[in-house]
Amino acid sequence: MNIFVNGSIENIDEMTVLEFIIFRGLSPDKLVIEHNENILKKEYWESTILKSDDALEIISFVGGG
Amino acid sequence: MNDTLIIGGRELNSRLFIGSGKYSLDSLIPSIVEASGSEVITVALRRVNFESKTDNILNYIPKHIQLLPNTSGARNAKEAIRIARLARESGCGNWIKIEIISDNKYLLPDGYETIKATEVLASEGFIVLPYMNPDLMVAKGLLQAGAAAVMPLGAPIGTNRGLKTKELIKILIDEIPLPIIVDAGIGKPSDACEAMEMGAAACLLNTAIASANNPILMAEAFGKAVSAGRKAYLAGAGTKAEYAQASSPLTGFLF
Repeated sequence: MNIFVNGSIENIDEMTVLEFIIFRGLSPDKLVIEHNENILKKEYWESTILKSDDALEIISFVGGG
Repeated sequence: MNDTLIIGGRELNSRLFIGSGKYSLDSLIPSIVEASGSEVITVALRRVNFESKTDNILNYIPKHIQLLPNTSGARNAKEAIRIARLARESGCGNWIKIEIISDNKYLLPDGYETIKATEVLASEGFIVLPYMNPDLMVAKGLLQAGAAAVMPLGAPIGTNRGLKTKELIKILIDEIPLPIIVDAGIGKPSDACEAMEMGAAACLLNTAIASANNPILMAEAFGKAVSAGRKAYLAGAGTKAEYAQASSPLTGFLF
């Protein structure tokens, strides 16, 4: 199925948000996630199963002024 | 002498706030923080770049430092509010620098949208520090909206041109009962010192340190300049005179 991750289409198997994060090689701490334009609290990453056409925004801190 | 700056209930010993952008290496940041003495550092929020394997910026920021996430990239209040809520969700506190810019040439902030975002975020318990044009009416609006401080620009972001808006910032210092933090445009330690001598509560700068040949030494210079300017403000400068006033006694001459 296709989902949208940071604005780009990705084809993935069924998995949870947490599984997706790990699958993409990211460390779950220090990330923030929006799922279909709502903030997804960390405690729900493991129980939220991604569905076709879902949109994820995966955000972290960078240097800035 | 005890002269702390209190913002959002936090006591700060240093009145220099620094940015974390534009460094050649993020690994310089701990030394910059230490050399500057700063206790507040700004960061930005961005989409994770899956291609880049760079470390998370937070790994380089000492734990005792207050994070001040900015809303850079926001073009209106709605986008700034969204970024602020994401920043808080990261678990790094509830301070937010509102930065709403839709003008890409001068990067000047939108006062109307900034007031709207401040009102919403302050009501949600954020410690709101808005970046603003030094405009008295906008500052009054931000005060009314619940800002914890206001952060007028000295010159456009990243220009290192100094206190071009000095007269207008002075009006805010005189009229607005909030800490006035000069943000943007400060290029040299003498600019920061001048702002502090005038009564600014603090200075926030990024480019002036990050673009120096030796950013660690420049961080130290800014720390000292801000501290010196603050002391001079507290001491109260003597009055100016048109003609010379002898510093030595005018009696008891040998001749």
